Amino acid sequence: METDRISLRPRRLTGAGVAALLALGLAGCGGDDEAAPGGVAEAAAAPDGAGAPQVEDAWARSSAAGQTAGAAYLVLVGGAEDDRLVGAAVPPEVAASVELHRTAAAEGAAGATTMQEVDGVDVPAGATVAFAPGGYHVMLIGLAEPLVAGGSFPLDLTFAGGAARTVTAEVRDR
Amino acid sequence: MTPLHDRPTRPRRATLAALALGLALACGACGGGDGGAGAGADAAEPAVAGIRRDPPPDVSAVSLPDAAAGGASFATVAEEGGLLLVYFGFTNCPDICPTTLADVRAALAGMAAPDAGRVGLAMVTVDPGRDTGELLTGYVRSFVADGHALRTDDDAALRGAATAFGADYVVEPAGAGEPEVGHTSHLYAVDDRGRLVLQWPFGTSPDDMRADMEHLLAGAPA
Repeated sequence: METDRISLRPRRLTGAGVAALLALGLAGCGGDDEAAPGGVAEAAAAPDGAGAPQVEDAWARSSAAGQTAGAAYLVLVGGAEDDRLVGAAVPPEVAASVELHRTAAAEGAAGATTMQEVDGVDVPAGATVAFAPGGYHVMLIGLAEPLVAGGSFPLDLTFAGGAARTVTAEVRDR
Repeated sequence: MTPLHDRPTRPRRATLAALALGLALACGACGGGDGGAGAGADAAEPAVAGIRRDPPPDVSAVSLPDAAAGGASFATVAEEGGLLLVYFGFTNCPDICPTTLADVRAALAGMAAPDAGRVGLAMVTVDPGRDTGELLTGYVRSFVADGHALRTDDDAALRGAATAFGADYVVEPAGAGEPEVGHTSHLYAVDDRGRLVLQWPFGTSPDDMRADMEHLLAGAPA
């Protein structure tokens, strides 16, 4: 399971560069590499104690009218040992279910991207794994109500090593 | 349409390479724009962040029903002196589509009002099975107040439109779950003659989009 994000910032692309970029279906994360001033860096008291991954800057994009699936993004910071994010959940008043997804190249459609559900995301010890637009995201399926910028909701994360984290995801327009 | 095969968790490298080669061939001389490629470019023309196709495809014949206008036909041509941004996506897309359209909204918000007013947005749904006209209209207009919601049940028309732009899409029924949809994630800019003058890959910053749009609007085609 790949855990590193390829970060690209396209400027001028040759034909081959365009082709490679489209085929991979990946692109640089949108513009501002924001060190979000209001970013949340929470380490909720974990049942297992020290060493488990931390979760930072959890946020979800505000949803458009009629949008039934939302996306949340965050940064995982590896702990003392290799671990793996294996589950995520939100209250039913936010969404009906939650899955982990990765945007990737679509087979069968040239230069297209699609999403693949993943059953987990490795978080190596000490590594930083970022969920960002165009890469990994926490898909919120069946939004109970629109996500409005300025709001927030709790996001529960479960790791293979046994840790559980609850963080507050802020809803932002970008 | 070739059905998708069992999907591995990781795309096969050989398949990616094949896609890359196929797309490179299909794209022809997709070149990065640095001013010299297009006809009539002057020596002082600044670079654009987006991708210029050479020659720019003619998409003036592409016409689809605009659900935001009661289904009236809408041709993918900008208003005079303006630009039309065209995007192929679907409303159940949680990541790529909302990100791109939010970036468009941010780019337009950074432009002076007269310039922003000359830019239109048309979203074409590649998933008409789930995207009703009403749903698509509301969705597009969440991002741009007078956006066009292009939707057709005629798959040949939809495919023809996508192909004219060099875009591709696939909608695969996924057993008991929701369909799996893949679509080219570029954003296209069309001028008032129906020429696809620039396109931005997913992830292009709003600042780059804005600068490119201002550049295109200022150098209104001679």
